[in-house]
Amino acid sequence: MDSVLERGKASGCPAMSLHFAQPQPAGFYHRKASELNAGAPIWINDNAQGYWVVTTHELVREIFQTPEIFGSESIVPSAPDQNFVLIPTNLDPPDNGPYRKFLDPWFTPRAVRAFEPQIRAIARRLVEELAPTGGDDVVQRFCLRLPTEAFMTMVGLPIKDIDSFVDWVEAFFRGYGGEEALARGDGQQPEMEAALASLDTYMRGIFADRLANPRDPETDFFTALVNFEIDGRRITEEQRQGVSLLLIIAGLDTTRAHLGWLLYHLAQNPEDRKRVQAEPELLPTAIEESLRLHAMIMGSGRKVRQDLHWHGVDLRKGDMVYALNTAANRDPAVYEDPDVFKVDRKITGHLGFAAGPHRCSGMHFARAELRIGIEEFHRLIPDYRIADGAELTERGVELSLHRLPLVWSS
Amino acid sequence: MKLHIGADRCTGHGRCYTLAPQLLAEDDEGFVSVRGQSIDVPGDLEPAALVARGACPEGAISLTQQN
Repeated sequence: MDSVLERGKASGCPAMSLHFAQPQPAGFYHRKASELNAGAPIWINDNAQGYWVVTTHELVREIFQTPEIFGSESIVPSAPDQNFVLIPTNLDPPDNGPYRKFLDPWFTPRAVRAFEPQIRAIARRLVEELAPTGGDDVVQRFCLRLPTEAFMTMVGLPIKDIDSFVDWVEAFFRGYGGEEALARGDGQQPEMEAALASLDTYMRGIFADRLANPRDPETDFFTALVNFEIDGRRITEEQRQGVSLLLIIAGLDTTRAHLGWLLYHLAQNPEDRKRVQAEPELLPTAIEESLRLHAMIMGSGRKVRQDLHWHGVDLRKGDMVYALNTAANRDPAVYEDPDVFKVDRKITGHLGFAAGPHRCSGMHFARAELRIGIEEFHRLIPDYRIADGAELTERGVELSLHRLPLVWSS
Repeated sequence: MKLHIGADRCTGHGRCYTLAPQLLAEDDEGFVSVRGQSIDVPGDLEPAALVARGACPEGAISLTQQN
């Protein structure tokens, strides 16, 4: 008995058949997460080569905290042989350690606090341009732009290149979970390949510049990166590319998604919106609740590193497991009324930023961007709603709204 | 009551010191300053200790009552 599907069936796991990369009406994947949680802790998905899907908070956290069993060689469950490398995401301990030691200091709460005035200046400018229009697609005009500009400013990339970055990241994500292949029907993802090649070329130029004309490594991220050593030797060009690719896609796509979900909720729930405006100290709590309820990482893939009998199922080396951050965050065993947005919910431990050695490095940066983004939005646009007739759809895998047309009085 | 933060589990989310600042503090690297240690919890700060425990995504915080 070889395949995941056969072994799962033999253990009584319910089966599903879902391509997680398929775009859907907004809210589909979060509802799906809740449904899966209600069904069983472990499912089998008859998609791609077949893989396990895990839903409960307890088991999902265990997967994140047990890298010796659940390795990160591939984090895309339908692609056991990932065609790109993210560093340190795709490295298991101890190999990820030196990279985390290098990266984490750039994103500590202290470092983020020092950068907040710049985040606020960017957010304020974007909202000042947006407010007089009376309404627009805030995904394009705000949610995509704030994190991209803030990130590029922080790591010292020229803002004039922002539009290229946005395009490359979008193309990357259309391919990431297989959406491009799904749309094409031929299994190929040339746009994603082209985006990866463009990012590679661009970063090569940056590395060459920082090697030839070093800036202050204490404040210029890419000067620090090109000089970063492990065991007394500079990391390779390929390793630098791996780090850069991770930062670009992690920095740009994730916060963009969460800004969208926050505005989506607040546009439709004026009582919550008015409360966070009247009680500014409540905004961080509301943000945590959104990070919980609207977790935008549908799940994190892991590759099993050794045969193991695990919570009633037989795992084999090489099996892919999809640990659902979204389902864990709606686990009724942990959260009362798990599908309800409670703007003042007290218990805030959630897996929106995952856990274990790969827990999100940029979490403090993300939280600051979200808080400042909403504060600045509300400063000039306190009352807004979703435009009539808006067709709200979401991307799968890294869940984000394609568009969010809002209207307000200008 | 004693509060213990397991160094093996703590990865520096910082939720504990953010939500229970009366009880826990941040170090330069963003970790809780008493990572890997046990501290005494004054009676009036027991609610804060419960908040800290619930807030940790890693489940790194444990509380024990002394008699």
